[in-house]
Amino acid sequence: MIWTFIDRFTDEEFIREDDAYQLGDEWYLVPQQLFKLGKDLPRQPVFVGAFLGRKRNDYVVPGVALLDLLARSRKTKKVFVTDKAAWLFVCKKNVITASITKTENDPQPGDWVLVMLNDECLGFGEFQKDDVKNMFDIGDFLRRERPIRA
Amino acid sequence: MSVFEKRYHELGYKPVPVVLKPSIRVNTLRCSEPELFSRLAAKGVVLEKIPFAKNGYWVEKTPFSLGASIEYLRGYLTPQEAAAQLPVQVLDPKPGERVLDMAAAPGVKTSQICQWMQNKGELVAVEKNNRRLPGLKNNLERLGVSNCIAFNTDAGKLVEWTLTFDKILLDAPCMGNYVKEKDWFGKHSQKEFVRNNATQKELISAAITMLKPGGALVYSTCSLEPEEDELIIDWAVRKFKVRCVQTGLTIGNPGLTTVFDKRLSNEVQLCRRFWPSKTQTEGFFIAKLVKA
Repeated sequence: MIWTFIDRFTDEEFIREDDAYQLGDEWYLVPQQLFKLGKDLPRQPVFVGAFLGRKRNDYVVPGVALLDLLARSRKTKKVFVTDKAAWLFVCKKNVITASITKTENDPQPGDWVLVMLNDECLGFGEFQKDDVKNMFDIGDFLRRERPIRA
Repeated sequence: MSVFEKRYHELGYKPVPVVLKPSIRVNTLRCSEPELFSRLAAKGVVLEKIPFAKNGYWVEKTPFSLGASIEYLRGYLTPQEAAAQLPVQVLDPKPGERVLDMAAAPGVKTSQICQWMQNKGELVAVEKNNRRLPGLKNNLERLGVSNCIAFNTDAGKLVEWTLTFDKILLDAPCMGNYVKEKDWFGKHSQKEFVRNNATQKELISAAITMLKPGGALVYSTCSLEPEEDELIIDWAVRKFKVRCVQTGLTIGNPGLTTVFDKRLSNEVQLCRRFWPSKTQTEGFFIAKLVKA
């Protein structure tokens, strides 16, 4: 599932399948040394290496490490946005076309694009005619930590 | 006057209210200090270097909540109380070492260990309480950690895994202190440190077993109760082949060597005790032990 997600952005192979490790519904990029240590221990870890993403219902919620790796790929489609649009985006809003200062790799409607503030990836969305629809942003850190009241 | 205040008086300290300055740690795994400093300055944030904490800054002024900023979300900084930044500094983990964090959630010190290790080597992090795992995992992800393997288990039982470590951080579960919690004096009883003392002895005993010869263990609490601090270290240096060494800190008072008429080992004075109004931090205690 994570590979299909990555393929939506780039066909460049920047993670070797051998280095990725699936732990339940989550994927991690695991250095060999840590992988060996984990294999020798009697209990399943809850976190190992760099977090790549998790399955939430039928889609992938990417980790920051994966977004940053995707941002380094020369083939990934990107939109660069203004400071104000960046803040609205991390508050779960879409990006209107007028707030896009630059694009890379010629995104077309329906493409998944990374949303960037300078060289910093803030999340991703679906490129549309009039806006970029927010599909995930790093403001999720605050939203997921919010206590749930019974 | 509460029973705790009377105890502090007996130990030579008059507890007065302390208003803590908010503080952050710059996460150099994700951003350099000058880069973050100039970036925040451009947004009107005034930071002041904490002289005794390596990557620490007090937030003197900020027009917005730093905990809800892009800099926070990108993992360039994390809120961390000034004294709480010191146990890892005393531990001084190095790239390539194998390190254990015995009570990891919410992961702020865990990520600090990885920062000192530059994400190289192995950090085993353990958290017993599964309700605290989401916070731990979020912080490890946000702060760009990549050399940590974390488990949901009882750190006291890790000895069964026959692993040994170069360095261990035991930031032990404790009853906290009056600066951290409103009406702390009215909410807590002496029963708590009696109960905690047993757990702390169990954990420090396990830590010493898992330490390589010559390895270092840092024991810390945010408690001001000697039963959770000096008395634990006194017990450990008498029972095990460990010695208490200098922490390298310039802040804090020496550990108490006389506690309610009980005379402790002289080594205990090498620990550091943070009486809040003297250090302008929360209450804290830090000890460094080295295994023979």
